[in-house]
Formats: sequence, C-alpha cells, structure tokens
Amino acid sequence: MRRDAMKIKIQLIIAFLILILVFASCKGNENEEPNKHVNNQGDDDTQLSDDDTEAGTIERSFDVVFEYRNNGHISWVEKGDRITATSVKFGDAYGYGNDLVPPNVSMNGVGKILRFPESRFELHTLYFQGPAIPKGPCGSKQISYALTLTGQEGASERYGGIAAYCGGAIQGKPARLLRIYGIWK
Amino acid sequence: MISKIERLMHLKPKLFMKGTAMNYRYHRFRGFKIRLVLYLCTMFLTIFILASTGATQEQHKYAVALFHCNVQYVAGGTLGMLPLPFLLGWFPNWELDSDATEDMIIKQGFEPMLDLYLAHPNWGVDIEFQAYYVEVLAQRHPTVLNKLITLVEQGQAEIISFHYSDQLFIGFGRPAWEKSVEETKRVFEENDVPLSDVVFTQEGQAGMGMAQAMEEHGYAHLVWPKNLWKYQHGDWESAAYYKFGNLDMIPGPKDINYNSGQLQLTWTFLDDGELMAACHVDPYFPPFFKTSESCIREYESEVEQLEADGWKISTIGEYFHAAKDMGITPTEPPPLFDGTWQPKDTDGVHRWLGGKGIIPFNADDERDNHVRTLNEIAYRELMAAQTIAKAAGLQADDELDDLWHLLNLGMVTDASGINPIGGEIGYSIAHSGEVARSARLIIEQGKEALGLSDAIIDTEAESVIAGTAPDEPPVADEAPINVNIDPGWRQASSTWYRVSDNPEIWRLDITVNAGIYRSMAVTFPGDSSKVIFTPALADDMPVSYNRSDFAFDHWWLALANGMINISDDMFVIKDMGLTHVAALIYPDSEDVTFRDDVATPNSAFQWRFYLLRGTADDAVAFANSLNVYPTLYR
Repeated sequence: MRRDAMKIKIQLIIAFLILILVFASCKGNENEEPNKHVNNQGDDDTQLSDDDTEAGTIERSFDVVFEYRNNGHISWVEKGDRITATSVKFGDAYGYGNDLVPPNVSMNGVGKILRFPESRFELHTLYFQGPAIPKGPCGSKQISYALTLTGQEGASERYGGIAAYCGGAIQGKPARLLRIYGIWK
Repeated sequence: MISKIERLMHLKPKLFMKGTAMNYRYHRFRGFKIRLVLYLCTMFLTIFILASTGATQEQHKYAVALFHCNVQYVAGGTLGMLPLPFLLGWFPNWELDSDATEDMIIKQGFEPMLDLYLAHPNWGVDIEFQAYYVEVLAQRHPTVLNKLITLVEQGQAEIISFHYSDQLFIGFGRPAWEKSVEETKRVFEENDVPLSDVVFTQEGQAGMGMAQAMEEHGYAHLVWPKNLWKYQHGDWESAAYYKFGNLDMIPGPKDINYNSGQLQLTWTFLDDGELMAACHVDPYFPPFFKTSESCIREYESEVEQLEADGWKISTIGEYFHAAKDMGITPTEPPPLFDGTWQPKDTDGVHRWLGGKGIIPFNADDERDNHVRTLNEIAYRELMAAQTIAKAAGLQADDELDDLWHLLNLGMVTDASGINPIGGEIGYSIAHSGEVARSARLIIEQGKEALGLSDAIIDTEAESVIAGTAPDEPPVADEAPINVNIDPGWRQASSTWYRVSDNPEIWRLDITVNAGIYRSMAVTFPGDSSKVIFTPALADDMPVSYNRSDFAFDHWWLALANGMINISDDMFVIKDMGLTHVAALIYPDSEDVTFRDDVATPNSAFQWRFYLLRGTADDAVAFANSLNVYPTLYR
C-alpha cells in the first residue's frame, strides 16, 4: 500500500513536471540562460570545430557544458599525441562549479592524447592551474586541474571531467570531480 | 475405599466389578493407577503445550526490517536536473551539488530513522549502505554517526555493507570488488563501526558466486531478494533458511512460517531506507523530500502492533541464530542466476547495461555502454598500473588506493540504472576518466623505472617484459557462424578475424555508423539446452544451468567476465572495453542476444566479440585474460 501511495505521488509529480514542460514550450524560453544543457547535442553552439592547418596538425575550438548548467570554451592544437596551445575558460552561470573553477578566467596548459588501442578508445587530457578561490574547498591554495575528455576513436561526443586538486600536485584524491560534455564533428 | 478423586474419575466402575473381592480390589486399584497415569500425562502434556505455545509466541516470531540506504542516491547531486533552467525560479532548491544532496539524504531520511529506533531500545534493525556513507557521516555528520554507533553498541542494529560505493559489482571482475571490500573494512575500522556478517547489496544484486567471496571475507548470511528468486522459479513457500555455499541465506522480504508456526519471520521493511521517513518521496525531488512525522508514526504504529502481538522486533542475524539454535537445517535452494532485486519492474540487469530508464525525457542522456566500457577501461589500466608499480618497485601504494577509491565511486549503479540523470552519468565518466589518466601516468613511471620504451604488462602473471603488441589477426576466410546484427535504422558493417587455432578463436568487429536511432542488437545462434557462464565474484568457476529448470520468459545476464556459451563447445565473450551490455537468454530458445537501447547517437561506434570453440575452462581462461586479468601493451 505504501509503495502504491509512493508511486501515485511520484506519478503526480511527474505529471506536474510534464505540465510545466508543456506550458514552458508553449510560452517560449525567453528566460533561459544562454547555457547549453546536455540535451542540446545538436545545437550549433556546442559543436566542436576542428581545422587541419598543416599536415598532422589539428586545431580544435569548441564549447562545452560544465556541471550541467554552466558553460565553457576550450581550444587546443594537437599533433600526434601532443596537445599544445590550450586555452580553457568557463563561465559563471548559476555558480555551478565556480567554487573550484574561476569564472571567466582563461587558463593555459599542455595536454596529451592517451590511447587505448585494445578498446579503440582515446582520452584527451589537459593540465592547467588556476588561482586560489578562498570561498571554495581549497581555500587559499592554488588549484591544479586535470581535464579529461573520453570517447571511442573517431567519436564526436566527448564526455569527461575536470579533477580539481588543491595545491600544485595532480595526484591523490581530488577536491572534487567536475563534469563536462561537448560534441565535435 | 474409593477416594473422592477416584469417584470423580470413576466413570463406569461396574466394568471392573467382577470376580472375587480381591480381584475386585486389584482391578479397582489397577484401574485407578491407569486413570491416574493418564490424568497426569494429560495434565503434563497440557502444561507442556501451553508452555511451548507461550514460548513460541515470545521467542520464535521474528519481525525484521532492512533499511537499504544510499548516500549516492543521486550520485553527484541534482545539478542540471530540471529540464529547463527557468524552473529554478520556481524551485530554487531543486538543484543541489553533491555534498548538499548527500546532506539532505542524511538529515531528511536517515537520521529520523535512527531516532525512531533509538526511541525503542528493545527493537532490532538492519541498516545497509555503502562504506562511503560512513565517511560522509564522519566528515560532516558526526552526531548522526554517533547515533548509529549507539544503536550497534546497544545491540539493536546490524550494519550491513558489502561495497565501498553503491557499485555494479556483478558486472565486473572480482578484483574490482576485492578492492571495494578492502576499502569497506578499512572505513568501518577507522570509524569504529562494527560490520555485520549479514549481506544485502545495492539494487539487491545477488548471485551464487558471492558465497565463496563472502566466506573468504567473514560474511555469513545473505538476504537474497525475494523477487529475484520468484521471477526465476515462481512463487513458493520459503523454508526456514537456505544453504548458500557453506553459508546461509533467506529470501527477503519473504515471510516464513516454518513447521506450522514453530518459527516465523515477517518483514516490516525492505526498501530504500531513507524513503520511510520521507514518506516514499525520493531524493530526486529535493523540494518534496522532507521528513514526515506522520509517516514515521505510521510505521512505528505498525511495528508496535506486531510487538504487541508477540513478535520480537529483531535483527536478521538474530533470526538466523534462532533457526540454528532450534536445530533447523538449511534447505538446498534451486539454481539461481545473478541479477538485481526487481527483475520484473526493471527488466533485470539490462536496465544497467543497455536498457532505457523509466522516465522518457531522461533517456536521451543515457550512455550505458560508454559508462560501463569506460569503467572497464579504467579498471584494466589500473590493474596494469598496479602490476608495473610492483614490478618496478614504485612507492605508489597510496596513489593506487586513491585510484581504486575513485574507480569504486565511478562504478556507481545509478550512472546507467533505473533513471539516470545527466549528472549521474557524468559522475561515473569523470571518475573513470580520471582513473584511466592517472593509472597511465603510473604506467609511464613504471616503464621509465624499468628502462622500457614498450612494455607487455600481464596482470595475471604480474609480470612486465619488453615488447610490443602483436599484429592484428588476419581476416577470417569465412564467418564461423551466422550472426544477426540489428542496428535498426543505422548501418552496420562487420568483420571476422581469425585469432587462434588452438583453441579456435575468432574475433567479430562491428561498426555502426552515426545516426540518431539508439537500439543495437547482436544475436548469436545457439543450440544448447544449457547455459554456461561464470557467476559474479566467481570468475574462474563456470556453472551450467538447464534452461528447463527456470520459469522466467527471458533473463538478462551481466556476465562479469563477459563469457557465455551458445552451444556445448562454443562460447561468446564480449570485449568489455568496447561492448558491455547485458546478454539476453530464453528458456525456449538457445540464442543469445546482446542489446543496447541507449546506443551512442550522433557518433559511429564499435562493438567487439570473440567466439571460442573449446571447453568451458578454455573459455573462462580466455575471458578472464581479456576482461579480468588483462595483458596490456603500453
């Protein structure tokens, strides 16, 4: 009986949410922030672009969704397994993740593509550092980041994370793992 | 003289009045003796029955509760959960980060449940959670942790924990669970929380292979989910308890009435633990996930009524001990496949390995195969890192422990389960990606220390030698069997490779082009009445079950090492680094199907299987060398 009551309650809540969705879609999204939710996979703004500038060199510049409500932009140049000229910048929408990643600060670093040939899988990794965020879990310490983007070889979807470590070392238990998502052609 | 008592008992004295006076006296005396003995026997029997009935009501009626608690109920928090951001204006407290979500679960759902039992010192209870729960309590809710410990110290509570994180342990090789249970024991010891020898697990995962693993780690009693049994064999009257290897198990929440009431068991609760106090609203709905005094009182009243009716409100362990003390021997259970606790509602483990969630608008986010293959890739890399660190003498134990910790978290069930939200999917991927990255760094350090530019890392032999990966196997002259590949509206191509002649092994690579259609299935034709596989946590112990012994219409298997037979000497092994979806079997068909209903959209993707002709031991050895103890070329 209790389970039935619970199911009815949840169904009511779901029905309520669906009504909200219908209402919202009729009214339009004038209040929506210009952020990209994970569902917006086909949105042009979230498409990664890559440019073959010289033989074996690929430039990538793309938007990412950061902590499911915030936004970000990443660019780099890759040649072979090396990634250089990285630039990483995140927004401040809703403050999600900004206690560990400073908003609107461009950070630079280096990276590498890790390959897992037996699984036809690859991991794009970037390393960079950011300033201390006193109100965050690292307090007065600088923050070091390891960013990973995962996918099967050739896949356009890239899910990943940013491991934020307090201090200068990138090892041990991170302060938190933040989530990012992007898609490239 | 006939005494007053005898007169009262002397119903038909004339029957004895024959013959001489002596005979008369003798017969009267003998009749009196018989009646006296009968009377005393009746009296003692009555007293015995009354006494034993009283004892049964007081001591042999057990009411138990198992609160399955989960601080990773929404792994990573509810950020991004509302479909449209403007809804946050209406529900500003709906989207919470990981810590805030965990805190809410503890304060609204967990602590009130503890308070209820603290208010009833004579009530027993079983509380199950991941060891990570203890860490969160210790770090941010020490008073709640003290309440929990108080319940244990008062002999009221058994604390059950079988994994550090609420992870899908039936889907991966045993070494992953070994690391999880190691961390579980350490966390319990460090926080002075006694660990019970009773086992229940996240999502009610259970399998017969758990028995030996449990025994080796000091566990003794399993609660096997009732529906996981019922779905395989139909409804039944439960025995007092069952054999589980060398251990014992009971089905839960299954009422037991042994020997016409000699021993009885009933369940007052077996469900997500925090939901009782929150009136069965779950933590995905933070504005509504609130402690409900009325629901707590309602539950309390039900238990009080049972207590008033003579039921002992006890722990599960007490029930097992009572059954043994009464001399009851365990019954042999029927064969049981691995699975999860609600195979009918969730369609089994497929829900976590390729199945869609229940709420449609979340299904777009699901990436089961990406989540679980990345778990496996990270696992393999970490196994290799562990091997080379040891071979090279690196001082990396702490770092490796940290990575196992992250991988345990990353294997959380909710990243691909009943209704994963985007944040939960990302939680798993972010953790596994970080493990794979960090493990690779350790491998590079190991290679440098050993002076190797290319290393062959054999995690089973725990050896590292110089060398590179073998060449790709040749394309097979012909397909060994006809496989049905169904990518729906997308296009698929496949290639068979010849991997080995002894035993005969082929590899099947399948590429599905980019598209929006999200179902993909591969069916291997079978011709065996038997199902041969290795149960979870028993990677090297294949079992063989007859399909005809089961009542289900279909069954999904996680296949922890990837192996299942399609004939008596032909086995399919999924390469879990590319394909980690559940295998579907039927009682009336010998075919085996692997299906993903949330296949990666937009991008092309690849699946891979191996086909082996040989014995079950050959197949186990190959499957384990691929998915459990891999050899990596780095």
